[in-house]
Amino acid sequence: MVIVVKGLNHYSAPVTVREKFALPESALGQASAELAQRSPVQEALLLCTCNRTELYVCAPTYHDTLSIINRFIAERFGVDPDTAESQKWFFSYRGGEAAEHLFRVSCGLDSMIVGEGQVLAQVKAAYQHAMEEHATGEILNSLFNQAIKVGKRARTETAICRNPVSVAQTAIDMARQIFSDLKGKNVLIVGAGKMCEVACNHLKNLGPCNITVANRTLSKAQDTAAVLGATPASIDKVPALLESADVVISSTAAPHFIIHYADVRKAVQRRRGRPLYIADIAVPRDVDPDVAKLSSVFLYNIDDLKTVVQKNLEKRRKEIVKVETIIMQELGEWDAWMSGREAVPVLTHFRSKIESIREKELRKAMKKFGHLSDEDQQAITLLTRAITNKILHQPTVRLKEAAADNDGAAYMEALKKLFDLEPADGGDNNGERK
Amino acid sequence: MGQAVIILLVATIAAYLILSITLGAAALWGREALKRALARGIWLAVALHTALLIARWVDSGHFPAANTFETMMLFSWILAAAYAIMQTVFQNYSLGMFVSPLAVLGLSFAFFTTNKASGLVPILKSKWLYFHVPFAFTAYAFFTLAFVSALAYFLKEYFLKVKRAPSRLKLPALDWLDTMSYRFVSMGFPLLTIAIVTGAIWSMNVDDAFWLWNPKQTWSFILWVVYGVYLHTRAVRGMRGRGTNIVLILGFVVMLITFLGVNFLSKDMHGTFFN
Repeated sequence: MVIVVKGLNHYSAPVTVREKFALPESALGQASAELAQRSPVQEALLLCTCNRTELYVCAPTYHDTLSIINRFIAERFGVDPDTAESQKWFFSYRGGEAAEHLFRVSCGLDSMIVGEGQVLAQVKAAYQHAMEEHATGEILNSLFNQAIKVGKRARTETAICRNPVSVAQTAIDMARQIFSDLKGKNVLIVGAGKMCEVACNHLKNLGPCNITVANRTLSKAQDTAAVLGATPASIDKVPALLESADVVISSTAAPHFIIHYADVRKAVQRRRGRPLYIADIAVPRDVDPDVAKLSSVFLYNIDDLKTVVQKNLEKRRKEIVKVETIIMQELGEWDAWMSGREAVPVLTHFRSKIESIREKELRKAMKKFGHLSDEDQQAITLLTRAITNKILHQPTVRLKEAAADNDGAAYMEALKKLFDLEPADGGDNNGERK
Repeated sequence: MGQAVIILLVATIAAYLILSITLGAAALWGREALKRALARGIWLAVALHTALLIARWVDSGHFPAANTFETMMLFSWILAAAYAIMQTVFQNYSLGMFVSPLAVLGLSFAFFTTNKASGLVPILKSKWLYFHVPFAFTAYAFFTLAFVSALAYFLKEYFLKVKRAPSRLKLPALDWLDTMSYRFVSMGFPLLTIAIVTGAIWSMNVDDAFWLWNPKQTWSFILWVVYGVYLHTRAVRGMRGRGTNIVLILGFVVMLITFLGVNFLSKDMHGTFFN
C-alpha cells in the first residue's frame, strides 16, 4: 500500500494558476469521496487552502495511482495536469516523502508566512470533511491524525508561531512595550473594517480592556461594536477620545489624515504625561506624522510595524530547524507504523502458505494411514499443527519486531523470496494489467 | 585594617563587577533563562557584602558608619540588598545590570579612601547613630533605585521613539518602570522623614538646637521637598511619565549633594568622616 500526494502550492504555481484548482471547503468532502471510489484507489483526501491544492491518495501501487489522480484533476478542474506546460506547476511525492510533506504543511513550514496557524485548522477541516464522506480509511486517518499532532507539537514546543507576523497583531503587541498590562486600558480603534476585527480579537486574548470603535458612518461602528463587545463612536468624537485613550489603532480608508497634530497636542496637554500609543496601519496614512514629535506620544506607522514583522519572521525562521527535528521524530514513528502494517499481509500469506503445505502433505499421508484409529489420526493432525506452529512462531515475532524498527522491508523481501510468496496481494496485479 | 576585611572587600567588588559584566552581556546576547539565573547571583554578592560588613564591625568594634570607607560600604550594601529583595518580590530582573555597577562604584570609592579602622569620633558615640544613619541610608538607597528606574524609563522611551523597541536591551514596559519609581520613592520618602527627625533630635542632644540650617540640614530639607513634590504631582495631581521622571533625576543629584557633597565641605559631625 502506498500513499501518493499530487498538488500545487504557492511555490510551484502562481495565483492565476492556483485559483483554477481552488475548491470551496464545502466541496472538499464530496470530491474526496469521488476520488476514493476510483479503483484501485482505496482512500483519498483533498486539501485546499488559498495557497495550495493537494490530493492525498492511498492505493496499492504508485504508477497507476498517479494516472488516476491526473485523470481526476483533468475532469474535476478542466485542466490536464500532464501536459508539458502544466507539469511544472505540480509536485508529487509518495510514501515517506508524502508523509513528510504533509507534516511540513501542518507545521506551517510550507506556508507563505512561516508557522501561521490557519493551515493546521485547514488540514483538520479537510480531514474532517473527507472522513465524514467515508473517503478516508485506516491509513489516511492515521496519517492525518499524526499530521495534526505534529502541527500542535511544533506550535507548543517551539516558537514557530510565537511572535506575531500580522500587522494588526504586531500593532497591539507593540503597545505592550509601553503598557505592561492592557487590562483596563482604553483602546480606541478608528475604522470598523477587517483590521478592527483582527485587532479586537487579539486584544481579547490579552485581557479585558475598554474598546471604543469609531467609524465615519456611525451605524457601521454600532454594528461592529455590538459584535465585538465594544463602545461605538462617530469619527468626529476622535479628538475628544484621544484624551482618555491609551492605545489608538487607526485603519480607515480615508484619503486624508483623520488624527491631526493640533488634536493630539491638545490631548497631550490634558493627559498629564500619560504615554499615548498610536498605531497607524492605514495606507494612505490616517495620522499626521508630526504627531510623533509630541512628548510621550509613540506613533508607529505601517512601515515601522512591518519592520517588526520582518524581525519576527526571522525569529520564526530560526525555529525551523527545531520543527524539522520534531517532524523527523514523528516520521520515524509513522514509518514504523506503516511497515508494521505492511508486515501483516506478508505474514498472513506466509502462514497460509505453510498451512496449505501442511494440509496437502497431511492429506497425502492420511491415505496411507487409513488403517489407523480416529484417535491416532487425530494425534497425527495435532502433531503436524504443533510442528508448523513452532516453526512459524519465531519468524513471526522477529518480523513484527523488525517492521517496527524500520528494518521490515528487507526482512519481508527476504521472506517473500525464500518462500516464494509473490504476489503478496493477489488482486493488485489484475488491476495493473487492465 | 584587618586582612579579612581587605580580602572580603576585593572579593565583593569582584563579585559585583563580574555580575555587572555578565548581566550586561546577557542582556545583549543571552537568553531569558540565562539572564534570570545570572540575576539571582546578586544574592551571592550581597552575602559576601554582608560578611564584609560584619568583619569590619568586629574589626573596628563599632557600627560601620564612622567614615567614608564604612558609609560607602554600608550604603552600597543597603542598595544591593534592597534591589535583590525587589527583584525577588516582583520577579523582574532587568534593573540588575544598572544596580550592580553602582555597587561596584560605591565599594571602589570606599577602597580608595582612608580605610584605617579609626576609633569612633566622640561626637558619633551615641545610640542615635543606630537609628539616624540606617534610616538615611535606606532612604538614599530607595532614591537611587528610583533614579535607576527613571534612567531605564528614558532609555526605553528613546528606543520607542526611534522605533527600536523591543530593543536588544529588553527593558520592561514604560508604565512598569514609572510605577516602580513611584514605589521606590514611596518607601524612601517616609524613611528620609524619619532620618531628618532623628537627626534633629540628635542635634538637640549635641548642640541644644533641633535645626541649625547647616549645609546637611539645608540640603536634606531640599531633598525632602523635591521628593515631596514628586509624590504630590503623582498621587494628587495624577501626573505620569516624562515630567515626573525628570524630577527623579533631579532628586538623585540633590541626594548626591546631601549624602556626599556636603560632607566634603562641612566641618561638623557629618564632615568628620572625611577628615
